[in-house]
Amino acid sequence: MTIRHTLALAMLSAQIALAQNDPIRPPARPLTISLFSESVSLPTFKGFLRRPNLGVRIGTEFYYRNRPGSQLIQTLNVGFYHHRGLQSGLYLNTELGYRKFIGGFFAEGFVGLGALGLSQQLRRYERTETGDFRPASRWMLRAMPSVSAGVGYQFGRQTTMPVTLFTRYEAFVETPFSNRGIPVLPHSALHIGTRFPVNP
Amino acid sequence: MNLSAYWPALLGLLMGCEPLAVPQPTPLPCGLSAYARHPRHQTYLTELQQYRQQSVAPGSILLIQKPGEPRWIGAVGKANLEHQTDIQPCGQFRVGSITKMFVAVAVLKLAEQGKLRLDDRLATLLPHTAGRIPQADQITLRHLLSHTSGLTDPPNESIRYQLRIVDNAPERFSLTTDQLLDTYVYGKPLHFTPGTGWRYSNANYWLLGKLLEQQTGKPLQSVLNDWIFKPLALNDTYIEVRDDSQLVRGYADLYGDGRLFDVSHWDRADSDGEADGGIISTAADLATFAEALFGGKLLSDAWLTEMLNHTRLPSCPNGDCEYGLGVEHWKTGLGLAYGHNGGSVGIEANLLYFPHNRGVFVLYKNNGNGSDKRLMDRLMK
Repeated sequence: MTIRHTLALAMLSAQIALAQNDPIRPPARPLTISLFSESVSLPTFKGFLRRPNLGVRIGTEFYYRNRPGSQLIQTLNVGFYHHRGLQSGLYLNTELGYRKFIGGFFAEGFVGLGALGLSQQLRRYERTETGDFRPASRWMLRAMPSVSAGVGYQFGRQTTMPVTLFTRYEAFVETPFSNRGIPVLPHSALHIGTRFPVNP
Repeated sequence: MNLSAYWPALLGLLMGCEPLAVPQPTPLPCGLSAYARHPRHQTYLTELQQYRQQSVAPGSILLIQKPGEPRWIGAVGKANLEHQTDIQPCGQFRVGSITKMFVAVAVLKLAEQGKLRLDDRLATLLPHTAGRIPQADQITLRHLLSHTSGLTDPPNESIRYQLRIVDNAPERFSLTTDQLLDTYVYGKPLHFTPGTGWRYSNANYWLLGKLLEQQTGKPLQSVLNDWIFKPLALNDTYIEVRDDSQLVRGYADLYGDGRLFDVSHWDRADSDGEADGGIISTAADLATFAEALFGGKLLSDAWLTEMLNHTRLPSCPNGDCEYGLGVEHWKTGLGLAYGHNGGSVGIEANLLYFPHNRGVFVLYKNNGNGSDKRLMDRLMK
């Protein structure tokens, strides 16, 4: 690295430090929190309340376009669910979505991709060099494509602190999966949640 | 809001997720010495070990019965990986669809007694199916026994059925046969007009189980117990739901990565107690059953012939559907064999009888991934 490069880097660092000391507060960031019931199933609304497998998701949104009547959104979320008798999942995902407002009401749709860390409740075994089997880690990492759609209502739209209530149906899969020719294990989740701005 | 404090709690939840408990079986008093003195013991054992390795099964059981040599039963590997329990030649296992042979025999015994006819119609035999199953007035008892009814096959065709077991095995386990029929069969279209095609369907045998109970006024387990298990002294065979901690456990590679999951509770939820695949048995009991059935001790010659007759339809390859009434026809390198395959997520079982030499072959493994059965051709020569 030359002296010129070092000086440039130092100046850049100083600018960042100055910016962080800027007394002007940065804009509030939306925080989304939802509770959801998860099931292993093809898309369906049945069974979510019969034997709920509970989960929680927390995330935020970034806007490619933010107009009074519509938003083009990128989300970033972390979530956790516990499916009794099968697995627990901790995931990080991002979604691209569109939200259309009619007054305070809105409808939205998203497609997403994430990484899903699983802790399996089924016992798992791996083969040894001698052909026997020994216990294997219950942890797995899987890809998690998703699609979702929801509706909601935003209170206080004209204020600086709008609060949103929403419900969303999400279908996601864990993949790779391979049993009887089925390449994915489908999951469904029904969310209810809220979104509100927080100051970082 | 300080969220960072919540993540250790979530991670704790994830790590605290306990695996399902696997009960420890008690050791079986299962003598090996008699089979160890068999003249071909080492040959058979080596073949079985190779088969287990090639089929990536934790354990496997083989029974060979041929003229000129005593019965041989061997077992290699593990019945229960959690407790590293050795699989035993006398170990009890789920036989899957081999159950259909037993149920077909019971139905044919009713026919033999003149209480049923093979041309009787489903809508007449089980009136509540009329209007719920399309063309129930055209589906005959023969169609149900031979898989020519055209009925849908939820365990193999319905992803919803399969996912329900994964999602909530206890719930599926609690469903009655009536509830299964109501949810997955009634109101569903037939694959073809009854009698014009062949398509394997477990639903045929759900209905046959109901029919046996209705005709005899007894639960299915009592019918099979009174007519088959007790008379043949199949003391390690049953169909009713019992504690399954002593059974060989089932395993499956669910993610295609070579690692096996213990899926015994899925197999239990799918089949225990059901007429399509609920029997628990041993290799020896299965062989005794095959000997008795094909030796004419369970059915008269005329009804055994009826059971074994080929189902012939233009829609089957070369016109032969390779199935009789609850019996598969296997075209092996040694000629035609009769029997049945049984498979589930975590197990595979085969029972074959070779009429040309009255040989019996039983092969079981606790991985439901299918297998190469050329072993049979080599060993049954």
